[in-house]
Amino acid sequence: MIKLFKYEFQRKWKVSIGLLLAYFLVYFGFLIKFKSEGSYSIETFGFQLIFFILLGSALSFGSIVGAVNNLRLEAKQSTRDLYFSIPMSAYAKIGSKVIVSVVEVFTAGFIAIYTAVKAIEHLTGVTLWKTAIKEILSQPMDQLIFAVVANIVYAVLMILIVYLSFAIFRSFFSQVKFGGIITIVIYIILNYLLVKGGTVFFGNVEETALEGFALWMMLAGFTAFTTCIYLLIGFLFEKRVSFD
Amino acid sequence: MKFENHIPIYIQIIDLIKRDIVLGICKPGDKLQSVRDYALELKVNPNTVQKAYQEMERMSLAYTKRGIGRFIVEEEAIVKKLKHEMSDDIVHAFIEKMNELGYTSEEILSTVKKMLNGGKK
Amino acid sequence: MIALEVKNLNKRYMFVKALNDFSVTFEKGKITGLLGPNGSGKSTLMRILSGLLQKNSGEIIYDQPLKGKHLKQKVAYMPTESHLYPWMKVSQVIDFYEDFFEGFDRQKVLDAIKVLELSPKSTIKTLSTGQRGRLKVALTIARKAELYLIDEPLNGIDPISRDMILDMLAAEVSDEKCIVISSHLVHEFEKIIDDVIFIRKGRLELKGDVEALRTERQMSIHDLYKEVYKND
Repeated sequence: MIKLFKYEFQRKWKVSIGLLLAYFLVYFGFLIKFKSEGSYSIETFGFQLIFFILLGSALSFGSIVGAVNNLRLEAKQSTRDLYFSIPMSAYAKIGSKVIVSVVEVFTAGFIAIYTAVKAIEHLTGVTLWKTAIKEILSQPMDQLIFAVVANIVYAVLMILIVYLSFAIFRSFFSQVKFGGIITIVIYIILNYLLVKGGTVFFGNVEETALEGFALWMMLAGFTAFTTCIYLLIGFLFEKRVSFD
Repeated sequence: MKFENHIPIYIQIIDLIKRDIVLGICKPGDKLQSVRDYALELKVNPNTVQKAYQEMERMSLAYTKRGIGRFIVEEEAIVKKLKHEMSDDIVHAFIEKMNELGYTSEEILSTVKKMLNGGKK
Repeated sequence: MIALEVKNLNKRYMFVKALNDFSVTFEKGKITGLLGPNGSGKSTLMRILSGLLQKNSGEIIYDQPLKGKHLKQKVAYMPTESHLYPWMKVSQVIDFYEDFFEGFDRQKVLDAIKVLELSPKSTIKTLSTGQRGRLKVALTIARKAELYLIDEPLNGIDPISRDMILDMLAAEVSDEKCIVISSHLVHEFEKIIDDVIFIRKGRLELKGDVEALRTERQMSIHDLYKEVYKND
């Protein structure tokens, strides 16, 4: 499986470094420009401050596109004949792509948030980052861990729903034209089912009633559900998909 | 190597080797090239060369020395025998073709004589 | 020795039946030519055997049961299209094959690319069709597999590269390997095949030993091909 990671890295590093470089060029370019034009206050949220939030969002969005493309492009181009004939289980292949995608999105997200906050700090003179970190660390440890785990599982699930759309398309609709549109429709349907299922499952539970053990049980259930989705995707890619 | 595709290739390979024997390029007792090497040289499937060699053994033209390789049989008489066989085939085909054109035996003989004498001058 | 048996294979694409109750056996130690016009089912058959396409019904029986990643290791499929990553260098592609395919003969490919006049530093993107065609075959035959499915290796390839490819393939005959090559360019190709399978509209039309067919029908396989498909 490490070889799969080596290959993913080989495939992506140039583009990733390029995007980061472009981001930082724009970032520092505008930071210097804005700084030289004067100072700003957090109360009057001017364009300059919003700019960095938007820039960070663009970076995050780019990483999400990258995460989707990890599987999308692999399953679409003629090179798929090579990738999918590698003698490794589909579970390993999909797993490697999910892990790379999660790392990609979280890293980009962290860079986006950190740099945006720092830019705003720099322009307004208000210490934001340290205050925020202090605030976060002052929370109870178990709540922090819960939040981190829940977020990771949630991000994984979001990526898995995209990948599941591809798997379903390739398993049942591989011969249909305009595959992209069909896949998007499948994705929308899956998301709808997920939200619907979520409200049915969690909607009955009172927020305040959930504490301690019950909350962790729900997280465990959520993780188990996400794992099942992963196994389903693996199964479909192992036994059901067709590359016409 | 230019092979006809409508005649089995293994037969054409045998004919090639027969010609080499008649011309003295291959001598009785000589070792035949390995299947793989010869196949590479002729640009054909090794199985085809293998078939040719096996057929040659069946025709008593070649034999296998276990662990060493395949050899042309060691009889000197083979050269003459093959020469006669091959010339017989050529003449036979020639006579048939001439007959098709309507030549009688006497006419065939005189044509041949004329051609040969013409060549001498 | 039978390498695999295909029984009553069916595959439908939307409204077209690509494979229609197709049955045949493939033998080891030979090169089998799979002949037929475009759309007759050759690629479909190969893609199903390689696991890239799912059959609708039928059986595929190997001499020992093969599934999942073992199947992928033992079946080497070379598609007609360029399946190599355009951004990779030749050396990276070789590393890739070595990483993922057990028993891959690195030295064999390195020797082959010298003969084929390919540089390890070139990117796949920059190679000509002929160079790509040669490289694909060299990589595929360097894999340690039992069934080799070579899909139309000569299509769109220049004559010199075609010769190189045919030479490479002819030299691969071995008792442990079953090599199947599909083509509709019969003329140069028929010298290297032992058996021929004619596939027509998804069905088996004719199967036989090439030399026996030449003797029996007094014609080349090329002419036999024209005979078989003349009314289509």
